[in-house]
Amino acid sequence: MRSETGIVNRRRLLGGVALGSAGGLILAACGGGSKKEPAASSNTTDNGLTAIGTSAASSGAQKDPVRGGTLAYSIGGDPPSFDIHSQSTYLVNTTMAPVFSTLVRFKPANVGEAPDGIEGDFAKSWEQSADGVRYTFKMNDGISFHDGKPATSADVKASLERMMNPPKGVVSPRQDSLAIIDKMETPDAGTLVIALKQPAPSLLPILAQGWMSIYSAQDIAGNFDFKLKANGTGPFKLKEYARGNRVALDANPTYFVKGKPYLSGVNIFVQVDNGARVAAFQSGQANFSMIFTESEIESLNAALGKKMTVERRNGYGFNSINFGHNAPWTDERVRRALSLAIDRQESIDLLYEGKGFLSGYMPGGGAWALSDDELRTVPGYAKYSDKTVSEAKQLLQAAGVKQGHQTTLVTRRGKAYEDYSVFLKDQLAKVGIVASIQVLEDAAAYDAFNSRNYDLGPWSHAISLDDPDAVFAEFYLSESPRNYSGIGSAEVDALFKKQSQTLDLNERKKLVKEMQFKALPLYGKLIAAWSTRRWAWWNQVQGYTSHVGLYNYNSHADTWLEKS
Amino acid sequence: MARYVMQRLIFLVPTVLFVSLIIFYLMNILPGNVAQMVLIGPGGEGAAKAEDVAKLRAEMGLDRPLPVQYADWMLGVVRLNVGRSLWSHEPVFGELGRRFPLSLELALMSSTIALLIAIPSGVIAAVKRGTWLDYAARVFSLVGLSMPNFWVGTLIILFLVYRFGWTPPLGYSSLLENPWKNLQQLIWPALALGYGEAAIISRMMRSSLLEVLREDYVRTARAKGLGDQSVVIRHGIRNALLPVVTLASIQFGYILGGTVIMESVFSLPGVGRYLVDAIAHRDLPVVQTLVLLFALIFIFINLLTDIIYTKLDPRIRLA
Repeated sequence: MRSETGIVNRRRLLGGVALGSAGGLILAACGGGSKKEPAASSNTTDNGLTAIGTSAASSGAQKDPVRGGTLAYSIGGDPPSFDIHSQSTYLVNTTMAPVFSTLVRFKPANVGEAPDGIEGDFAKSWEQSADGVRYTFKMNDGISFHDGKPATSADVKASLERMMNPPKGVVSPRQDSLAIIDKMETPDAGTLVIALKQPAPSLLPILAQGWMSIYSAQDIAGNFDFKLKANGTGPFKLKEYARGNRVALDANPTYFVKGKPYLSGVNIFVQVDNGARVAAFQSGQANFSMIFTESEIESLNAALGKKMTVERRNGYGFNSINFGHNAPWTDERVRRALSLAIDRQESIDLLYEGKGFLSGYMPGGGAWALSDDELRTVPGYAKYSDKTVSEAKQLLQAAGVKQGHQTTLVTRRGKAYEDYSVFLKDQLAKVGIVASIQVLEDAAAYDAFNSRNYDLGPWSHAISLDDPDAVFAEFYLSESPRNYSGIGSAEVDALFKKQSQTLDLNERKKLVKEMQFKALPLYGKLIAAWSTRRWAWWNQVQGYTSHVGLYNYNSHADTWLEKS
Repeated sequence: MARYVMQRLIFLVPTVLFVSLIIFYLMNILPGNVAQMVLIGPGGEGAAKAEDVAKLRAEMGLDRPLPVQYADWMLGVVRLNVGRSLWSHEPVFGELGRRFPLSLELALMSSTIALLIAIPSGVIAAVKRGTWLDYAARVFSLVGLSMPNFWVGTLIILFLVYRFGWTPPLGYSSLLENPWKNLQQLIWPALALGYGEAAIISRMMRSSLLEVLREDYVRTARAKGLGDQSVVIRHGIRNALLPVVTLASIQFGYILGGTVIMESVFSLPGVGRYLVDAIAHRDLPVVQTLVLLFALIFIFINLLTDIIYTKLDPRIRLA
């Protein structure tokens, strides 16, 4: 069987492998995989801190919309259900927003979510009473649901009531925000009157959120399975859904805005792997995205160059630290020390790849944000330096925290969370605190947070609306559901109540500012930095304006595809 | 043989019961619950107030005594109706019916590719032992064993997109819906998985055949004047296949439910991804049903392997 002449001895084999490897290296160096210079993307809009105002015209001169074509983009998981009233995830919002209308909406052409940037969607117009407690909405004509039934003010009323008083088996995350509504009346099919318990300047921004979808009153009263089916009045209707695969939407031929939508359909693919999403976009299988990281955008820029457009906006996500009920973190001096010890700019450079911004409890660039100078006056939020680290050490000493004190950072699995925890461990080490990181699987992590069973909880949160009522009610009041530290004050709660009833915008802004100055130094949630969000699309995609908020403009009624 | 098969099927019942009890117990002692996950959402974007969690748990029937929950579920298994996913509200068997064919197809394709590569390369490596062919086959195996299959899959995607500007079409289509699209989507993960499988099977084939070729009956066959080819094919390979069959069947079972990362890389809605998501969401009906299904699959694969043994080696009799 074995031939003497055919035997390869070990020396010859190793020599052959070495020669072959060297040859391969030489070939590679000679340009077998030659790298092109990264092509600069000239279609990049970076709004920095100015999020309000009309969108930069990244697509050049105005063109006439072209009909047809399918928008295709990927999301990172399956929507848990189609019942947008009961959900809080972008997976449901971005999938279902094209299917439903809302009573009012933020102006599509605006980048930000200013209180005065709202227009009608289902509603044609509205009037507000002088005392601010009564709103009369007039509906657009000719609205019908996808099943053909006409839509009236009764459907709006039923939808809002469903969110205010959810039926059995449904939990409504927006229930508290709608508690200001006293009663609703529908004197005729085209009119809805909302009477409030008190003046509430946040009513319109709350109603303008993408979550406030209008369902059919008949469906609500019947046995309609909102989790698996969708019957709306939006520009697109649900064609099919295959879990783990895709959601397919078709254009609604009876959409009440004549001439729209321009697209014939939207395909939303489920792709959990980041690399797969990037590859699909690069090959053109997907022509739109709102969830790329900075390095993914750079990689795509290098590959596609001027074929794509990128827009960056100040995002609504932020890195924060939550505090458990264990000493010494219950001591406000210790929490302030941590705030002084963190190099926030470094966290932006490392964790947000240089694209992020500093702000307090309200997102930077928005109507309610503190300026950089104002933020630096808040104890614990001064610009990082050796002096702030020294001050931190003094505070810890005064609070009795010894050098080498051991603590645990509890977080959930995922690159963003784990990287952030490693960063914090390093920051804590500067002031002599030795931290160990405990990465938990999601369900276990949420359980730990809800039961306050941790020392420090580095976490990435996001707000859904740039409005103090929405943000503070969710995170910073004494009884807020996501105040995981359980730290609040009666003073902040009182200011919240006052500003939520103040109709004069300038006066309200002053109160909100004061509220932030009172709340931030409590360190119920220590803000590290806010993230930047990126949108990318192939240049054939036209008519779309990216928004600072992820949840409030996803209908694609104005989007169209240029024929290549 | 019929008696043997019946005995194995009878043993299936206590095995399944044992597995079901274990998984039910484990899922109920893990921290977190599906009601909390539903409220907080997959990305942690929501809030879960204690009273809302309690209310939702009650509505899902999770506040019932554990024995009642277990009995209810087992009854559903017997009736082939375990109800709906607590997370997505979709019927469990319906969702399984959609995903299982994909996983089965992927397992069959990758196993076929693996065997087509591994058996010839293993035989050649054994027959040409010590030659450059042997070393080449062994290096091929070593590389396949060293590289995780999901990494190979990622490399394939990157190669396709950077070299050809092409990726497999998005939105899985079954073989019946669109065979060409289905092939474009599944051939790449099948190649990545098949290579990893082939690496293991090839080594087993080689060492098994080398051992068989040293046996007395092979020496006798040569002494009687049979040619090398005849000896190897008629006497060597058939006897060397026994451990290969075992290995291939275990690999097949693993691929049916264990290729979560590959499904993620290639965006395929398979059973693996379904199970992992269900565990993350604490979706009890789905996890319990799938684990039970995998237990059954492995039992049947083992039984099938035993039957194949008898065909390969007549000396083996099933008691």
